[in-house]
Amino acid sequence: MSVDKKVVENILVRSMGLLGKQKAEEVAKRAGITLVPSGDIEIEGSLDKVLEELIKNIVKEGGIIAKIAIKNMSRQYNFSMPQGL
Amino acid sequence: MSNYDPNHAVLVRGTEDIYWIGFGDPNAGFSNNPYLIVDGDEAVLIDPGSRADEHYSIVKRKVEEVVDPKKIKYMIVHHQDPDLCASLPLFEEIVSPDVKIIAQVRTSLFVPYYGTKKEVVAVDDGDTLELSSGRKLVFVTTPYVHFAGSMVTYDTKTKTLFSSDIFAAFSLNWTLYADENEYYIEAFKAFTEPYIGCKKPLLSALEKASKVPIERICPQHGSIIDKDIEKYIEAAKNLDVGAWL
Repeated sequence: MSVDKKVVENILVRSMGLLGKQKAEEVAKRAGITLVPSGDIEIEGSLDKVLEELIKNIVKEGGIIAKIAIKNMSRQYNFSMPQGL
Repeated sequence: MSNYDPNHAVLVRGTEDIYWIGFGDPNAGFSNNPYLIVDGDEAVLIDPGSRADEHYSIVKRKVEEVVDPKKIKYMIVHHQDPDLCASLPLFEEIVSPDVKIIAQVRTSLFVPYYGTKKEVVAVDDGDTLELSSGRKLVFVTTPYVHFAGSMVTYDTKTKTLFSSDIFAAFSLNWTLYADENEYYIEAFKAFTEPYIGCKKPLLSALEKASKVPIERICPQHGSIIDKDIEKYIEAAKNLDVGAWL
């Protein structure tokens, strides 16, 4: 997908609106994202892989509303949705 | 946190006669927010909603908690989507036999396709409904946000804007009031950005809203906004819409 880290941050913040902060933080952790006290995020491993896992987990938790919202972001930020979504 | 029970009709904070009679829909992941204005012996039902049994039964019960449905003299629908209009024929059976359905002229064409029997009064920008008490509800068209015949309703008594899908939100973390959700603007973006085609109609609608004093915004999905209203209007101006073109 070759995305910028900023895109991952934006999706994560949007997921806080969609899922609530606690659930969004759980989803981020599962995807390999660590939220640091400064408000920044740290990513373990490939950025593209983390983004894919993050999106899959957000849609898994949020269902159709999350799918619509993330698909919209994929068009805004020009990244591909994971296979099957 | 405000003290309210979403399983019952809720008197909207800061008002004496506007009730939220909606419900969260966990399957869809968003809330549906019909509202009821009770003004003396008259009542106005706004965007009554879905006709699915599990939805209609909730809204009907909440109406009955507040008022005899026969007192409902007007049903306002802000555009023709089923989540606003589909229950109109069901409500026609229990509200005043003289009820009038009110819709913007371009929406009024489609309302009877739900099987409504009563007169649909077609209104346009700036038209006013004056209740027996003298209270005025002003209809303001918001074309193409997100349907051609969309409108909103402004209650001059309480300075409440019933904003239909403008300021609506998608959130599994639904709260009745936006200030109870620190990420409401993100939830608002999640709903609104995918459903509006371009910026010009949105800015036109917001420009109209800026001309009247607003104490609260009551959207058809999401949460009621009655604090920091300017913050949400600014957020709306900066929405990134039309990505699906």
